[in-house]
Amino acid sequence: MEERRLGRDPVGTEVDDGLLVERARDGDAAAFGTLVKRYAGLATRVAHLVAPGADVEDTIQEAFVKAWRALPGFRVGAPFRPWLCRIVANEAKNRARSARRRDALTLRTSSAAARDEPPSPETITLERDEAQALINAMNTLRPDDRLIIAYRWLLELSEAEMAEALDVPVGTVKSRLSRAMTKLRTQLISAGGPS
Amino acid sequence: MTGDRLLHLDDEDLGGVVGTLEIAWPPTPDVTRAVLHDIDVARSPRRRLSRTAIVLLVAAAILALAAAAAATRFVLDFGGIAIRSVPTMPTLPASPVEPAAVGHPVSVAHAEDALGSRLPIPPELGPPDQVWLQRELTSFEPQEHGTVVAMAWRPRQGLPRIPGTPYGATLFVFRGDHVVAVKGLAAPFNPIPAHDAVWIDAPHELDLLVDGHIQAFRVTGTVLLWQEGDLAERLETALPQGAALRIAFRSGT
Repeated sequence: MEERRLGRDPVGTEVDDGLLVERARDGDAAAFGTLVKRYAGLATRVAHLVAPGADVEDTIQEAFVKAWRALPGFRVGAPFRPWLCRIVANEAKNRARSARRRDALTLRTSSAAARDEPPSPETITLERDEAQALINAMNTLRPDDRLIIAYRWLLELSEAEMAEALDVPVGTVKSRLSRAMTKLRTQLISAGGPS
Repeated sequence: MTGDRLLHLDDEDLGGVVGTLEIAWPPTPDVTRAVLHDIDVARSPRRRLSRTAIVLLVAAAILALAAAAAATRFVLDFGGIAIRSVPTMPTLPASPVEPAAVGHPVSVAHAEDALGSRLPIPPELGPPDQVWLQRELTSFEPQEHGTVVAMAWRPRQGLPRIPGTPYGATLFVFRGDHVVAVKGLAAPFNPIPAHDAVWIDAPHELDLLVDGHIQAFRVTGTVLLWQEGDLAERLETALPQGAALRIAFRSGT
């Protein structure tokens, strides 16, 4: 159940988000601290996706402080994770804009480029050059397009969560995601294909 | 070799491939202690006392100025800007954008030097037509001063004139955490938590403390207030909320 979900990280998993948010709204800083620990990893990834090269630590620290201050306006029962994603993404955008810095293309593959484990029969196994081409194409996208693709496929948010994170209706999520995927494909073509 | 097979995948399959990429994410910083410290500082007794002092100062000043007997309290503060509730709107001169209130005309470079950082000029608006600097605008807090940079853009297509002003958009940038401007609202305002912002689409009063005297103005445009780092910003236009948000938060990329 999304509204009362547990975080993905193994920190504080005995208490679900909804209860922690309720306690935090009542002024319980320790409860909010548990949420910070639980979602620092997610926040780091969102900040990096929006503004690679920016100071992630400063960005997410400020985002969490803003989230704390915005808790009185948090809709009871709403999922915390996408709401936090929205705040982190906005903070990262603001900082990138303040610095007048165009997003650096710093998304990068690890040394292996693709997973080491054996793929399932349905999984396409990426060659190294294909993985690099895909990363390059991701990096050429506008931050909003890169973010919506990452929300869906890298951070595995549901469409409902994406709608909350982007503050748009679910139907808009679908159309934006479709357009972003088209742009991704276009970038692959313009780069001469992945091979 | 796999050739251009990725190009022929549908969205779902291509997305699935994206999901298999191993991204070299930056290490997750441990910010818990720092966040809790900031939260603790923000609600420390010293700060609460400071805000109480502000409320009293503003209440006294407003009472003296307008003989308003209403209880005055801040319902929100954005560092340099605070909002208080007022029962009714008094009759006031329009447009706070005049030299007496916002300082003297300067160049962008001069303003950035005084502010200590780059001006957050919205890419959608482009270079401002006018920039003013008030280096030491008196704060509502005793012994404190603030810096305000005001920018203005003339009307153009897509940027209609703000009633009662010669401009299509004005952006005030407040440096510091000391209240130098107070907005008096008789109507509700609309928080936008995702942007840590507030939207005001009703005429309201803007009070600036200049040389120890309150200067009150009637704001006729729509206003977006938000914080960006240690800057508080106030964008006034005649545009609806969505358009103002795009101006304020669209990156230059």
